[in-house]
Formats: sequence, structure tokens, C-alpha cells
Amino acid sequence: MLFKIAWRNLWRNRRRTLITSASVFLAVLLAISMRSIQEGVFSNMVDNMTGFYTGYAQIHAKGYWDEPSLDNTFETTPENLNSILQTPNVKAAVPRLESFALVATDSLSQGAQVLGIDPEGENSVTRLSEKVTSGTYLRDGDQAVMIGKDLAKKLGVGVNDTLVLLGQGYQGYSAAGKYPIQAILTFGIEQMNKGIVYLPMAAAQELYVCDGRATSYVLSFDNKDKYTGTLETLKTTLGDSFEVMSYEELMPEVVQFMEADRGASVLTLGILYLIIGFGIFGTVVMMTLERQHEFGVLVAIGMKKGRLSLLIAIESFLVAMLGVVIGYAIAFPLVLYFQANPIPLGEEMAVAYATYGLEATIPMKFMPSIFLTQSLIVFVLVMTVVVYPWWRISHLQPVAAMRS
Amino acid sequence: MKPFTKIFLLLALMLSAATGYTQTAQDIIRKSEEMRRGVKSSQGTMTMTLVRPNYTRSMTLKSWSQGDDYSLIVVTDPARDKGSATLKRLNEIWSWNPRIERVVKLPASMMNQSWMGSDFTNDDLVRDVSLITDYTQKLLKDSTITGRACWKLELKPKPGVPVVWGKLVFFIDKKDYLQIRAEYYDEDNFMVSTLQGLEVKTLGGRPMVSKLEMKPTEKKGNSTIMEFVTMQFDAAIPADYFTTQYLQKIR
Amino acid sequence: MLIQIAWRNVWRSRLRSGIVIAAIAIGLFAGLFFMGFSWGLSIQRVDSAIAGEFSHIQVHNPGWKEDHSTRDTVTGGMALIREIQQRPSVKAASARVMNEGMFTTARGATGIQIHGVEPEEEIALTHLNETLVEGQYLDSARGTPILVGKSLAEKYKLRLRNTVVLTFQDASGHVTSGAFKVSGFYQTVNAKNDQSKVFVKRSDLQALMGMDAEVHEIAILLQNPDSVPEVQASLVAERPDLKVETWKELAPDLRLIVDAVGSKMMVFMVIILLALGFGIVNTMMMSVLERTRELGMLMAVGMNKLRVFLMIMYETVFLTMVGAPLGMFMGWVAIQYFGKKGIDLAAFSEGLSQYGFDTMIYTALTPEFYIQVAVMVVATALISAIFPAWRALRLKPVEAIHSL
Repeated sequence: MLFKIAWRNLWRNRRRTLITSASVFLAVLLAISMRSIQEGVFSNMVDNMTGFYTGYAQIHAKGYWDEPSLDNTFETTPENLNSILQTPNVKAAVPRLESFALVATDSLSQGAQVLGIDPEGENSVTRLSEKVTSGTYLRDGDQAVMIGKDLAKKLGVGVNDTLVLLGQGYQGYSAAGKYPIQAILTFGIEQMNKGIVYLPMAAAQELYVCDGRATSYVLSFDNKDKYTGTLETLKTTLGDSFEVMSYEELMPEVVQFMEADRGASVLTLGILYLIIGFGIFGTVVMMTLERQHEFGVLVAIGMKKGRLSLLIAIESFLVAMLGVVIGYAIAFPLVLYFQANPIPLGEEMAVAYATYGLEATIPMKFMPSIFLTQSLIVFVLVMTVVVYPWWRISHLQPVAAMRS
Repeated sequence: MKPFTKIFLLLALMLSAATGYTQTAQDIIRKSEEMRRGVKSSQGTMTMTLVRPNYTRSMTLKSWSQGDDYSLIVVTDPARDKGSATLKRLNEIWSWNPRIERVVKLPASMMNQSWMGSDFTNDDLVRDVSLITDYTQKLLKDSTITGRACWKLELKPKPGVPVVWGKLVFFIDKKDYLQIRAEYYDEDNFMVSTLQGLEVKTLGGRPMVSKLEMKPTEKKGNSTIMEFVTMQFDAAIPADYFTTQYLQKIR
Repeated sequence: MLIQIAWRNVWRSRLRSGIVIAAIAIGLFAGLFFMGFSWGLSIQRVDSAIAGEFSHIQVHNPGWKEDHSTRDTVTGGMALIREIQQRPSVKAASARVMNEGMFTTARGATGIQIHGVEPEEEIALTHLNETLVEGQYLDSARGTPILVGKSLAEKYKLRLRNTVVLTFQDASGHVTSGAFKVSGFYQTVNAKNDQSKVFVKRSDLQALMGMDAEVHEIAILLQNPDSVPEVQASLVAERPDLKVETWKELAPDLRLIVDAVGSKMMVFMVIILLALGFGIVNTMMMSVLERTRELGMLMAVGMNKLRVFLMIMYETVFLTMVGAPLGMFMGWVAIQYFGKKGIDLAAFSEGLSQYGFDTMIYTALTPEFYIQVAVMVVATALISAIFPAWRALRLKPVEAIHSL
């Protein structure tokens, strides 16, 4: 009964209904956009950070992370690779063999990190081929290396020059090899430019006497947001002889920086709610003022104040619903659009970002949970604001109200 | 005056002979250091065994040395590492690997790396600190180690000496002045590693600790065992052995 | 005349006016506070990098940049630093001797960067003493002191007053070592950097390296950041043989942070302004609706449409004139307050505090920003008023009087 009256009231004064629900719709739209941008920027940052080197997650032999030595390598069997790849949500597992070596020319030498990689697989995880600034990207089976540009500069070498790698292999065998430089790499990170050498997995395994062994599998996922669950599954399937680590464990200092950003984004969101809440509040106050006369009449002809309050609550609920529905209808394509076409940051920024191998854009991220929580929060805001008309109704003097 | 001086000298000699019985800790260390390296040169063959929790691996080495400043070590077995050589000249280390045919001088930042995969670092080969002048020595009570009567000595580094140890404890064999056991302590009196003589033999006409084991306390199941198989002392070694040119030629 | 009516209108309906004033005030307050927060955050990041790492200007031998060879010294560096310290534009300056080498403890050794500094100079320049978490700051009372990163100390189980040995090449290329007593542990935000850097006294390192009047790096902090180009130019003129770089050249990524924060700030500001604008539009719309009868009456007695439009715009101007200063004041107070007391980001992000990361953000805003934000908010308010005012024009006087 009340519901019917409320429904009719809404249609009787369409303009008012539209204005009020517009304020709700806008609140929903802006809150969703804000959160989608925050999450978009955040996951962009994670993508960039993990794309530099570590990947989203890594699997090592137990104890490798604490003591990264070749004695803590594992055998890359088809069995363990399959059990990783068959875990739901795992897209790829790329092996690496990482160690240290002295990189030398005839007269100069420098210590560097050496990475044996599966060239194609590595490219899918870290887009390594895009970092090649001269020469050509490695292919499987090549007996050649790619090195960071600052390392090349320090050793005074370029493409086609020969480098010597000298280090220690598995079980203390000596590791020594001579390789032509096939490419020079330019990274956004100085340490990588200064001290990194890539060579194909087979060549690295031969150099380090590590036949069929790897220090890590770098993982990528179908759905990056669900990686925690996937890692848990992997931990149980792989058992005690392996350690499974997420990027958060691999790069705690980066996560720390991003957490600070998350903290800042919560504050920003709070500020937005303040304004949105006040916008809705202003609209509702105006609506209440406008309807003083109507309220007065209703109470005068015998409507109980409680029922009137309930009526207003139902009306507000319906208006809020309407606002949320319109908000969804607009936010949905909007967020999807900006997810696919991030907001560009201008030419100058683009150039600056490019030197770090980054794109200067502000992306949005489509997440159903954002839609749900943000509309719920706006809903709660609306229902809190309804307290104002209730308060007016409870203090209502029918005669005075009718005269207003 | 002359006869008096002679008598005086004689007296002094007699006295010093007498104090030989109650010699000082420093004397013991000095004698044992003379026993260990009091030769002009040495050459020999040895095996080095790396003991690790998951595996054990041995290699055979040939070595030449001249005083404390020059030494040359080349791997003769296993086949994969055959011909790899390390040259120490004063405090520099040079490395040669036949597979890359290149002599490389190790930079200071590489000195902390393990030498040939063992529990010794490159730095252990070149660190040049005198047990006699850089430490203060003190005799502790005698003790018996692996059936040999030993002096037990405590050595503490003098201030400013570039040494990381809090103290060293040496066990020196009373008969031949051999260093049977050495314990390395940090400054909190924690024993970080031990060097233990496992066998004493006469090689090249001199009694020596022919087999010894280096054991880091905190790495369970890790140790390095060196065993001298043949040894020849004070044979003339051509000076050009200890050059980077020769490093490329030895097999 | 019209202005007077508008002025009277504003005060006739206190509640309605109050809502609009409050909307503008809160919008301005929130906008300012948000800017103050973001600005404070980015300033803090840049300042901490300038203060702790780069200073405003650094002077090197041009060769130093290429390969960090210890032979590439600033000749006459000790005289130069004294001359620089005398300059009135210089707040603090420090001359450093640097080397790379090996750090040996009883429990093992690692590669290390050695910074030889003059303790007093670093207190003034980088506040190095404030990073100390345990022990004494380069205290010579017991032998040659060394400051070791907390994380490095933990790795090698070092305690205060332990001895460590540094091995490195001296000026003539010979390897030399020295014993140092751990005088204190320092800790910065970046635990990884702490593991690769130690501080010793400049005079101790110079003695070991056989250098006397030469240094490798001079870092300068100026009284006023704006005089960076000027001081750079005068140093270049004085010593054309040296490479003189500003923090912007030394750390291009820092500029990137500033720009990124700036652009993110703009996107969020647009969202906040949109929310504010719509809040005002809605409130004013409701207010026009509520005043339908009143406006109809005015039109009926002969007020023309233009005058009605102007009247509503005047009203908005008055409301803005009250709301804007109020909001500015509130924003200013909040920024001042949190500029002193700080906002603890840890309250918004549980992950943060566990890293021992500096979670306090101090709000800050330059006067230009106050004006910028004020202009934006006032413009938003006025533009938002146009739509309701225009709506009012479409009222038909007779219908308007009869409505309700």
C-alpha cells in the first residue's frame, strides 16, 4: 500500500525524482570511476614492477631465496612443469637459471648477474625483446649473450664483441665460457643496465654444469587478481621441496611504496564521499523544504508521522535504486572504455615514462566488486541522509507547514 | 774487554737455551710458523674434497709456491676442470681457464667468492696477516688433540690490524711444532670455523699435517678436506712460473 | 536594485542558503585539503630524496660518471669544498671519498660501496646521524669507526664495536685493507640499499687510499632551491674541468614522481569538482523548484526573464562569496594543522606499518594552489548555477503560481 503511494509520488513529480536520483547516480558514477582509476593505476604499477624482473610469482627449490646458490637449484622435469601448468589459473611457467659471474674482456672485468632464460617464454613474462636497443633478441639454442647497456659501456664492448663469463657452477665446478654479444639491452632500472647478462637456458646450463636444472620458474596467470589462491594450490601440490613466492614477498620494498599509495587513495576516497554525501544531503534538504506543505497536508488529514517517515524512506530507497541503476548503466561502458583506452598523460610525460619502459597513461580497471561496494556505500549515504526529512517530520506542525 | 764480551755472549746463549724449556707463546707460534712455511719453495700434489649436505666431490691439484708471496695451483682432475689455474702474486689473484683461454685478474669485489667452490674464499688465499707480529699470544693450559700432546694458545689481534676475528685458538704439537688445530672465534666468542688436522705424515722429508679439514660451524654438513699426496721442498722453481704468461702454458 | 533583492533572498531562506554555502565551503575545503595532501606527499618524497641522497647539486670528475674509477677525483676537492661552504647561498656541503670493495666479517664477506664522509658535514647535509638506530654516530673514541646498515649487520650477525675489514684498491691501484670498528647501525627506507653501503670517516679512507687533497664527490644543499641554476652556472664557470649536475639531472625518476603525482592529482581533482558541481546544480535545482511559486509571482508582477536569471546568478555569487572564504579558511586551518601534526597513513593501510616505512604525511600547499583551487571551485559554482537559473526562465508564470 505505502509502496504504491511512494511509487505514485515519484511519478507525480518526475522532475524532483530525476534531480534526486541524478545526485545519487552521479555519486555512484564518480565513486566507481575513482575506485576504478585507483585500482587501474595500482595494478598498472604492479604490472610494471613485476614486468621488470620478478614476474608475478616464482617457484624455487626450498631455501633458494635465503641462500641463492646453484646448489639450491631443482630439476626441471616434465612432471613438475606439468603439475604447475595444470594448476588452474596458471598461464605459463618460464624457467630461469640465475647466478653470478665475472664478466671480462681482455683488459676489463666486472661482476654481474647472469640469467639463463627461455627466450620466448621470458619475453611473454617481462617483454624482454622490447628492451633490445641494438642487435637482435636471443633465440633458443644460441651460444650468445645480451647485456645491459651500462655494463657494455663500462667494459667498452658492443654487439658482436666477445665476452668471457667466469664463475662457479653447480657443485663447485668451475664455470667459464666465451660468448659473442648478440644484443644490448636498455632497462628503466639502473641496476639492470649496470649488471645483467642474459643467455639462452641451454647455454647457461652448460656453463654452470647445471644440466636440466633451474633456479626458478617465473609464473604468469590468466587472472592476475586471483593469484593468491593459485599460489596456495601450488604450495600444496608441489610439496615441501619447493618454495612458492608472490611478488609481494619477492619485492617487499616495492609493495611498501604501493601500500603508501593505497593509504593515500583511501584518504582521497574519503574526501570524495564527503562531497558526494553533501551533494545528496543538499538535494534531500531542498526536497524536504519543497514538500513541507505536502507533509503538512498529509499529517493534517490523519496520516501518522511514522507512516509518513516510512513513505519517505521507501521513496528514497526507490530513488536511490533508480540512481544506482542509471549509474551502473553509464559507469559500466565508461569503465570498460577507459580500461581499453587509458587516459593519456600528455606528450612530455609519455617521453619521460618511455625511458623507464612505461606507458604514461591513467587506466581504469573493471572490477565487479568495485561496482558492488561503491553502490552500497552510496546507498548507505542516501539512507543516512534520509534522517533529515524524518527529523523534519517528527517536528512537523501541520498548520504552520501548510502555510509555508 | 774482548774476552768479557765473549763470555757475556756465551752466557746469553746458555740462558736462552735454558729458557727454551719455558719458551714464550710467541716463540711457539714463531717456530710453528717456521715449520709450516719456513721453506724457500715447495711443490706438490694434493686432493681437495668438498663435502656438502647433498654431495661430495673431489679434485686433484698441483701446486708450486715460493715464500708467502707467490703460488700457483692448477687442477689436474676432474677432466672438466683440468687446466684451470689460479696464480697468486703478492695480494693479487689471477685466474686462467683453458676453455676460455683468457687470464682474468679478480677484482677486489670478487675476493669474497668461494675459491674453486670450497669453503675457502679467494681472500683467504691472499690475506696476509702475521700470527707473530699482528697478534698478541698467550699460553693456555696444555691439552691433547687426536692423541698428540699440544700447547694450547690464544691469539688476539692487535688494535688496528685488519682482522675480523675476536680471537684464534691454536693447538700446536709439542714434538714437531705442527699446527694440529685452529679455532676461529668472532668478537662475541662464538666459534665460527675450525681447521682440524686429520693426519700427520712425513712428506718431502718434513713432518707435516698432511690432511686437514676446514669446517664452518654454522653450515651444517659443509666442509672442505685438503690432503697432500706428494710434497717436495726447496727445489728450485723458475721465477717465470709465477707469471700470467706461464699461467697459460701449464697443464 | 536587483542586487538588493538577490541579497535579501539569500538571507530570507537561511536553510537553503546555508546548504549551498556549506556545499561550496565543503567543496573548497575538500579540494584544498586533497591538494595539500597530494602536494605534501610528493614534496615529501622529493625532499627526502634530495635530503637523503642527491642534495641539490653534485660535483664530480667527468670520468667518475663513466666507470666510477677511484682515479677520477675532483682535484683540489678539499680546498673547493671549503670555498663552497663559505658561499652565502649554500646551506650545507659535503665532500666525499668513495670506493668499492669487500666488506669482511667473521661470518663471511660481501661486496660493498664505501662512503668516506666528514661526520659534521653529513649531519648538516643529509642528517646521516638521524638514520642511526643503534650505537654512536662515527665515533672515533674506539678506533676507526664505521656505520653499517642494520640489515647488513643482521645478515652477518654483527654487533656494536665488532671489527670489520674493508678491502679495496688504493689510489695507485694496489689492494689494501683496513680494520674498522662498528660504531653504529643505520637504517633508511630502502633496506636493500642499506645492505650495500657503509660510511666511514673521510680522513680514515683518504689515509688508507693514499689521497690527501682530493675527493670524488661534492654534494651541495642550497638555502633556496630556486638558486640551483645560478649556483650550477657559477661552479661550471669556476671549474670547467668538473661535471656539475643538479638533482633533476641526477635523478630524472624523481621528476617523474612529481609529474605523476601531479597528473593523478588533476584527474582526481576533476572528479571532485564534478561531484561538487553536480551537488550545487542539484541543490540549486531543488531550490528553484521549491521557489516555483515565488518566481512565478515575480514574473507575474512584471519581472522579465533576464532579470530573474540575473537575480539567481547574483544569489549564487553572494552564496559563493560567503562559502568560498569559509571553505578556504577551513582548508587553510586543516592544512596548517596536519602540516604540523601529520596524517598517519598507517591508519588506512595495515600493510604499511609492518615495514617500518615512514607513514606520516604532512600536508603542504603553496599560495598559488589556494588561488588555483579557489578559482576552480568558484567557477564550478557559477557554471553550476547557470543551469538551474536557465530552468527558472522556462517557468510559465501562471502555472508556476498554481503549482501546489
